[in-house]
Amino acid sequence: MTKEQISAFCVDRIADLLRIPKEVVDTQTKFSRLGLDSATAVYLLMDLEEKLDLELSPEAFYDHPTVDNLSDYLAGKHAARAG
Amino acid sequence: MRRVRVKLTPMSFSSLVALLEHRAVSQPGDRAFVFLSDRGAREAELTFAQLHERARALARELVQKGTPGDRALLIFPQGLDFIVALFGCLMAGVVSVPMMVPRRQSSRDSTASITTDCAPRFILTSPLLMSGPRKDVAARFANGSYEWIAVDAMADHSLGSDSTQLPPIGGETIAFLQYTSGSTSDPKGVVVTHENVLQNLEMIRLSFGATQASTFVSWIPLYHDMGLTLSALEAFYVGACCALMAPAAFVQRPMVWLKAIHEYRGEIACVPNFAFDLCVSRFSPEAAEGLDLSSWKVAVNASETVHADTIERFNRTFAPYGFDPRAIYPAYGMAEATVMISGSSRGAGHVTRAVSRSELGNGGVCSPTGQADSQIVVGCGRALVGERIAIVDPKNLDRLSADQVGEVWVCGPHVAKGYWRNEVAARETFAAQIDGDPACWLRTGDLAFLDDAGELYITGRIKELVIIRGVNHYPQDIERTVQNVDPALRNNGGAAFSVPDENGDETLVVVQEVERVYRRSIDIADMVGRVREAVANEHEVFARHVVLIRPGALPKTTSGKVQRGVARQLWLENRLDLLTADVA
Repeated sequence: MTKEQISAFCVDRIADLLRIPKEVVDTQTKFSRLGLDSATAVYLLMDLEEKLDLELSPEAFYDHPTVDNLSDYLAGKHAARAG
Repeated sequence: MRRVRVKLTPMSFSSLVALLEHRAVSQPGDRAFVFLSDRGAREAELTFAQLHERARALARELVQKGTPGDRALLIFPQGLDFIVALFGCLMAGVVSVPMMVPRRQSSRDSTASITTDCAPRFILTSPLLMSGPRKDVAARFANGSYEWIAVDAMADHSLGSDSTQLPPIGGETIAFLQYTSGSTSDPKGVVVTHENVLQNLEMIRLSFGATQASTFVSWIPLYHDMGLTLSALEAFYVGACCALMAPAAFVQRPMVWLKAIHEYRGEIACVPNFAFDLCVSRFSPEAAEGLDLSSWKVAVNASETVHADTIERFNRTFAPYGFDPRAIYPAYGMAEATVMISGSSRGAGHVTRAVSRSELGNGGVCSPTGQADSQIVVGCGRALVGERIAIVDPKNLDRLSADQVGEVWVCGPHVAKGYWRNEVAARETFAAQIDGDPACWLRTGDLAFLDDAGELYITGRIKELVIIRGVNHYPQDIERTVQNVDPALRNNGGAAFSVPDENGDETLVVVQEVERVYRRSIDIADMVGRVREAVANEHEVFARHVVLIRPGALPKTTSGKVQRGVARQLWLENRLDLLTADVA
């Protein structure tokens, strides 16, 4: 999966979880600023694990705190796994 | 599977310590506690003998370094280190104060106020927290001088030759303080004695039908009364094994918990309502392949509002995997009553009633006038053996009859002694009286009615507590967090409350006045974002609706007290004087 695809997926899921319009989910805004508390973030984590077939830890949100950062990181991890 | 003959005589031990000593002698090699990894693999375990020996070693160290009655903060991630620390304190007569590990990003959580309130001598923590990547934890306590002790449950003390004398522990000795009540600015530590705990554990034993063979499987945090007393200590009380998991592990992979119930033939497991919903949402035939939940006889649903449709969905989803709907066991309780106040009958399933929604809003109970007026309420069980429950009019303090809504009052040996060094708050809560009855009653602050059969139906709350996903949130704490975000947000100009969302789950609303002088200069969207961020960081909850309003628009009493109930009503009716429309 490309970074763009992962990013779009994250935006979709976050919009769903927070029940806000997709347009409002800015990919460069910190997750906590969007309103993602750590418990809600875990739901996103679960979906990403399933989608990317990867094992992820909640630390990923602290280390890559925006959709942009996270998609970048996950695209790399996903490619490494496939390669 | 071990077959055990059940003793019908109630156990009578003077303290949890006496009970531990008995277990260490009568079933030394039996597993008392097991800790499971995030994937459900067995990571560590303690037999009763090991628990006793390691707790005793810690107790001797505590006695050498302190005095019985000293308080100890217990700051541990979920695990067996906490269990050894707790029992070590119990044996030393040191008062345990279980606490959540402070969140990294949270600067203003309750850690500081609880510490100030209970003035501990000791801080007990896991070896990893003391020296690992969470050194920020120690930094929070830099202002005081405490005796830090790292507790490692796996350290073997069987060859220790220390013979330090331990103090006698009796029923009136304080076992621990529970700080789940009270806000950050006004923390209230419930004082729980050994007698309180043993009495409630015995009530629970009878209600659960728990025996030595009743394996418990729990992911609820051990600093929460449901995790500590209802699960870990209840298992210990009956001599059963308790398998523990981390709460984050459950939330991330709910199926791991169900698989653990399967693997350990778990008989009893207690969780809040949202956990049942989470299992349903993460269910798939692939993930549930081979799952057999037929050993699960007591599925406690407590800690937040119990929803009938949650139960029905869970039953439908997991009945094909051996789950018996009669195992569903709604319950109700609070830390002020040690943990459990009402419980269902084992094997009876849940009880519901259809009542008039409009009449309930007026505090009355009667049949609905039609489909639209019908509201389903779920029973939370009945009074436990040795306990009395009364429904009392909160204004005139008259005792009410069946099918009348009032405040739940509780009387019994499990009701705690009071709040730590807070006579005033304790008197308001623990010393209530009913005309003609000499006993002292606990005022719960919850609204309910009893039916003719004595089934308790919780209908609401007098206190303005917000409960989301089983966790208590104090409106005033959230309001303060919001006001600290920016000088434009007026102090004492906010209200936080919860409302049901599309699924009936409670969701947070924050209403906040903006100072006149800033009204035109603030960026609303940015402000809302910053408020959400602060609330997420400090309180780990999502402020779904953040509404900024004109100064003076927040309903207050003549003395200036914020009226959260009225604010909530205005919000629901869309009658707030908004600065602008709610963002999102």
